[in-house]
Amino acid sequence: MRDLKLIADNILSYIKEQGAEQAACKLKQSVTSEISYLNGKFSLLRTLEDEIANLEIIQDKRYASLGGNRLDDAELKTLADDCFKGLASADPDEARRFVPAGEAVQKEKTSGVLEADREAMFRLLQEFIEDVAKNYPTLLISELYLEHDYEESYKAFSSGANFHEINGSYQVVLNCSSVVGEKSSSFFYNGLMTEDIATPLIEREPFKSDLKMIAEQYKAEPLEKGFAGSVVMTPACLDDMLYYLAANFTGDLALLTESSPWRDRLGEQVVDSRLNLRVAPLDERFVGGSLATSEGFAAENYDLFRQGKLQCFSLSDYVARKTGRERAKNSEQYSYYVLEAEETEPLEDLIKGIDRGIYMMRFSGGEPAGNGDFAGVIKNSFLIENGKLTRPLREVMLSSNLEKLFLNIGGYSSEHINDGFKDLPWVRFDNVGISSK
Amino acid sequence: MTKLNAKLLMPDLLANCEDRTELRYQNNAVRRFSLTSGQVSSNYRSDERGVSARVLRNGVAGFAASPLEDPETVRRVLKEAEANARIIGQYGAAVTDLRPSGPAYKRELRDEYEDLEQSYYGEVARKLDAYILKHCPKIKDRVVSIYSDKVEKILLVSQDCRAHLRTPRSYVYISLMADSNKGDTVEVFQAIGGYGDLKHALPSLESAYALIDRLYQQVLDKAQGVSAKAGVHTCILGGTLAGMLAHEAVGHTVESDLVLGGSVAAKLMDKQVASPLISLTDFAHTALGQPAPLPVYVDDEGTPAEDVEIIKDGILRSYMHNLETADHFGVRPQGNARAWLYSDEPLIRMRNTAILPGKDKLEDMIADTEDGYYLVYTNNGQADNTGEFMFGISLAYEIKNGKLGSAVRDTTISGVAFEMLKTVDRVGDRIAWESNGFCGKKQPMAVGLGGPALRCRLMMGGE
Repeated sequence: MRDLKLIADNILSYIKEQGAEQAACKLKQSVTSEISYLNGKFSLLRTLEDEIANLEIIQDKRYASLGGNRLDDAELKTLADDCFKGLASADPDEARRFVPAGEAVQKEKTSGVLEADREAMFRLLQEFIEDVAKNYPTLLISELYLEHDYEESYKAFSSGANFHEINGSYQVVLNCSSVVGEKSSSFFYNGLMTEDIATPLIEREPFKSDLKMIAEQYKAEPLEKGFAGSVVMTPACLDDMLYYLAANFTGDLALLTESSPWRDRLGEQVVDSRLNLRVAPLDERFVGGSLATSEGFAAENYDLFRQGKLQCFSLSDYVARKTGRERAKNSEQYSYYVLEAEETEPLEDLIKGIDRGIYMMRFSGGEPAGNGDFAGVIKNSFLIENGKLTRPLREVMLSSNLEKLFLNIGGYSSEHINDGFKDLPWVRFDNVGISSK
Repeated sequence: MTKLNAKLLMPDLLANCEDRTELRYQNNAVRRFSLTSGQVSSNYRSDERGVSARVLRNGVAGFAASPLEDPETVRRVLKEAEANARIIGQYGAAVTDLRPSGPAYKRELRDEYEDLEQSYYGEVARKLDAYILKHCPKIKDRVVSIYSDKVEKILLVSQDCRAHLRTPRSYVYISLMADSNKGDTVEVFQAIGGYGDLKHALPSLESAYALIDRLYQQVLDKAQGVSAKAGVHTCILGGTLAGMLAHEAVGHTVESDLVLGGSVAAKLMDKQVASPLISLTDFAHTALGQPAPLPVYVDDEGTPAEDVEIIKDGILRSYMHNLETADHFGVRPQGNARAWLYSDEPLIRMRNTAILPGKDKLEDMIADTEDGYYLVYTNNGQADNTGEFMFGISLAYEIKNGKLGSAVRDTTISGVAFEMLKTVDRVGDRIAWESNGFCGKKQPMAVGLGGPALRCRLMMGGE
C-alpha cells in the first residue's frame, strides 16, 4: 500500500510551484473481493486492486479537474500538467474556491472491518441461499453478490485541510423474482451495506420484509380499473422519491438555472409538517460516509426538512456562491437519509386505515419534470382493500407531482429499515392517482 | 494522451495456461466540458486503465485486476485469477469445458483517433452557446455539454485471439429550458454526434445548429403544451424511441443470463412475439450496409462478433449469449460478452440493437391516425424480465384527425413488449440511430440502438 499523505503532499507542492492559487488532491487506494452467485451457482470470484487520483486546480479564478488511476510521481505530475492545460478552456469565475485557510481542518477516521473474511463470506451466502430455498421456494435468485471493500482515501487541499479515511465494509446485492410454472414476477433488487457477516441475512432487513412479499408476486395480475387512493411505499421505494424530490427542488442544477419551484421558499413549509429529514453521512448507524465536502470543508450532518419546513438547499459551495445561498454541510446530498417523523404508527395500522390503495415496493419511472410532475410503473405491488393486502398487481401506473405527494402524507410507520446507508420508515401517501391497463 | 503499451501483453504469457484464459489491458478515457447558463460547469478529463485476467475452469471463473502496467503485475494478476478460479471451484463447478471453436482471431487498430485538447471542447461549446443566445431569444436557460469517451483494449484469449481495439464516441448535448403557460419550466434535450473523436463525429457545427433550431421550436411548443391523457392510446413512436424499445423492452429479456433468471422470453422461443411486420437484430459492426454506431468486432471472451437475429417477421429466433450460456443452450456464441472497465468481468450485453425498417412514410402514418400521439423524444427507459417496459417521454405531440396538434408535457409510456409489438400496424421506412447513452446492468455499457417509426397501442401516464 502506498503512503497517500506523502504522495498528496508532494503533488500539492508541485502544483503550487507551477503557479496554482488553490488546489485539491484526492487520492484513493482500494482492494475489493467479490463473490458472484448467478442463476443457481457460485460462478465468479473477483479480486481487484485500484488507485484513483483526482486533481483540481484554480488559477486566475479558472478551474479544471483531471482524473486518473495512477499514484506514482511521474504520472501524477503529468496529470497535474494536463490539468493546467485544461485551465485554458475555463472562464474566470469568482465563485470557484476550495476551503479557505480559516476553515481548514485535519481529520482522520478508521472504521469498519478492514480485511475480508472470505470463508465467512461464502458461509453467509450459502446459508442465505439455503434459507431462501427452504422458506421461499417460489423465489428464483438470478444474481447475488457479496463484496468486501477496503478503501483508504486522502484528500488534501492547498489551504492545509486534509482528511484521511480508512474503511472496510461488506455490501450484499440481491436480484430475484418469483417463478411458478409459466408465471414469473417483475424482478426485484435490494441490498445492504454492513460490517456484520455473522447474522443470517434472512433474519435481517431489508430481506426479512421483502422476500415474503416477492415470493407471492408470481401471481400478479393487472388492476381492473384505476382509482384515486393511498399508496404505501416501502423504505427502498421511498428513497427513490426522496432522491427525486431533493434533486429536482433543492439540487445544484435546479437552483443554478433558477428552475426549482422552491427557490424562494427557504424556511417555509414545503412538505408534510410531521416530516423531519436529515442527510447524515456521519451518523454512527451508517457505513462509509465522508468526512469532507467536495471542496474540503469538514462535513456535518444537516437537516433538509424540519417539521416540513425547508432548512437548506442541497448545494455545493460553488453553486451556493453563484446563487447567493448557503452550501449544504456535506456533499452526500441524495443519500444517507434519516427520516424521523413527529408521529408514527405501526405499519399494520397505517395499512388498516386504507379503503383502497397500493402497497408499493419499487417504482420504475422517468426523470420527473422540473416542476415535479412524474409518472411511471408501480412494480412489485399489492392491492390494499379495506385495510388489508389482498393480491399482487402488475401493469399499474402512478402519475403525480412530487410536491403534492409530499404534502399529502397520510402517515409514517414506527418500523423502519437501516440498510447501512439510509434509515427510513414506510410512508403512506394519500390522494394519489392510480391508472390501470 | 494515454497510450497502451502494445508490448505488455504477448501471447507467450498464456502459453502454459491449461484453462481458457483472458488477459485484457484496457484504458477508458473520458473528456467532458459543460456550459450551464453560459458558465463553465464542468471541465474534466480522466483516464482509467489497468490489466485484468479471467480464468475459466469447469464452468466457474476467477478474476483479478490491477491498475499497474508492468510484466510482473501481469503475471501476478494471472496467478491470482487462477487461484480465484480454484477457490470458487470448491463451491460450485460444472462439467463444462468451454473451448473455442473456429480459427484464431486477430485484429489490430485501424482507425485514426485524435485525443483533442480540452481547449477544443471549450471552443466548440462556446460557439454553440453563442448560437443559442443569438437564435433562441425566448428561452429561460440552456446547458451545452460535450462528452467523449474512448475504450481502447488489447485482448489476449488463450491461443485464439489477439486483438487491439478502440471504440471512441463523442456527442454534444443541448438542453433548452423555457417558462411555460402553467408558470413552471419545461425542458427539451437532445444529443448529436456518434463514433469517433469530436472532430470526426461532428466535422462541422451545421448539424448542431440545425438541432438547436429544432429544439428551440420544440421547447416553445412544449411551453404551451398540454398534459397527456392517461390510458391506452394509438401512438406513433419516433425512430429512436423504437430503438429504445428494441433495447429495453425486447433486448434485455433475451439476454440469456436474464432468460435463465426468469425472463418471460424463456418460454417464447420460436413463438410469435410481435406483428409479422417486426424484425429485430442486434448488429455487431455493420447494419443495413453501413457501419453500426458502435462497432464490435470481437467480444471480451475472444468470440468474433456476428449479428444476432433476435426477431424475424414477428417470431422470436435467438437469445444473446456468452460462452457459458451458448454452451448451456447448445448454440454458437456470437460475441455479446463485454466488459466496461478493465476491472469488470464480461457480461452479456447488447451492441447495436434495432428494429428493421419497413415501408411506410412517417407523414402517411400521422395522416392516417385519427386520434393519438406522436412520441418524439425519450429521456430514459427501463425494462423488466416480464417484458414490461417504461419510457419517460420528454417531447410528444397530439395527433388529431391526421394532423399534429399541441405539444405534450412530460409523460411516461409503458406496456408489455411482446403484447405491444403485436399491435404494431405500421413500420416506417427510415432508421434512426442513437448511441450516446449508457445501458445499465451491473456495469454501464456504451450501446447503439435504432429503429424506424412504429404505430402501435400503448399505455400513457397523464391526467
